[in-house]
Amino acid sequence: MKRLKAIATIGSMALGLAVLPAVTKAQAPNDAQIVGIVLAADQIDIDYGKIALKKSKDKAVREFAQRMVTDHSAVQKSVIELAGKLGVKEEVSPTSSGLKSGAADITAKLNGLKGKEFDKFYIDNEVSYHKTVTDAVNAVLIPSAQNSELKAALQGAQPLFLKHLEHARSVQSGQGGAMAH
Amino acid sequence: MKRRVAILLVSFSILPALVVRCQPASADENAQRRIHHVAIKGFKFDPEKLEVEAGDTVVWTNEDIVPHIVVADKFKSRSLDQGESWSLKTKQKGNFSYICKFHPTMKAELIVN
Repeated sequence: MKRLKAIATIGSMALGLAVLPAVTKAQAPNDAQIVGIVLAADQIDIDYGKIALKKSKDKAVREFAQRMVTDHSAVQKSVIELAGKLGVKEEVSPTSSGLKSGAADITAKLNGLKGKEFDKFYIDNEVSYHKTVTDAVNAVLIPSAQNSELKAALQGAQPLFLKHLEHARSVQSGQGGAMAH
Repeated sequence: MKRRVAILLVSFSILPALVVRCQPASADENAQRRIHHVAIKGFKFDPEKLEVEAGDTVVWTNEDIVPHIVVADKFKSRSLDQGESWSLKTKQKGNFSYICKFHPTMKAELIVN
């Protein structure tokens, strides 16, 4: 039953994340909205990482979580600096709002789990999250960015998302694989 | 006579160049030859495979916005923020695989001959 609940939650989480790739060319975000989406995505993963650092006792999970907090904080700082330099003020968009509301559900789920169930759900979520963000940055955010420096920064961030995805998958395989994907 | 003078002139003009070429490399040249640079950029070590002579120095510089750390069985850097470097004077010969422990899928190799 618990396993079924976890699978259902992962499913709903994936639906929440589908907001990002669902952005079509017609709804292409402007630069201010792109900044808002990137900052929201970074903050969400920082918050998940902080929860994991509080709750997990698993060394690999804790190391990964610490990395997410450190790296996404660095990206966030860099995005804020770039936006300031370009005179772009972050704007709320349906995508950033969708990300935040999806994250509220995941946060509630993370707070309700403990032990190995928590570790598994956290890492499975990180795999899905980074996969979705990587795809969305490639398919939507980079092609939509108008400012060349913003576009270059997004392109420069791609290896980071990919490495985080590889790292998450490596921790996941150490746990015995994904729960449901 | 003109031919002898010409040969003499040519010899004198070539000789200094040869002397310069035969001189050992200056201290600066030696120092340059013995320092190798590895850039950490785009979540990769560049070059990913580096071959040096024992006694050479290798300098890693982080160009990414996130911290990295160079870790092998035999050596370990401190955490390197963007723009920071860490150097290693090689002593022991061998092949040393290393990673960024923060991002364990970043892998490279240092070969000390």
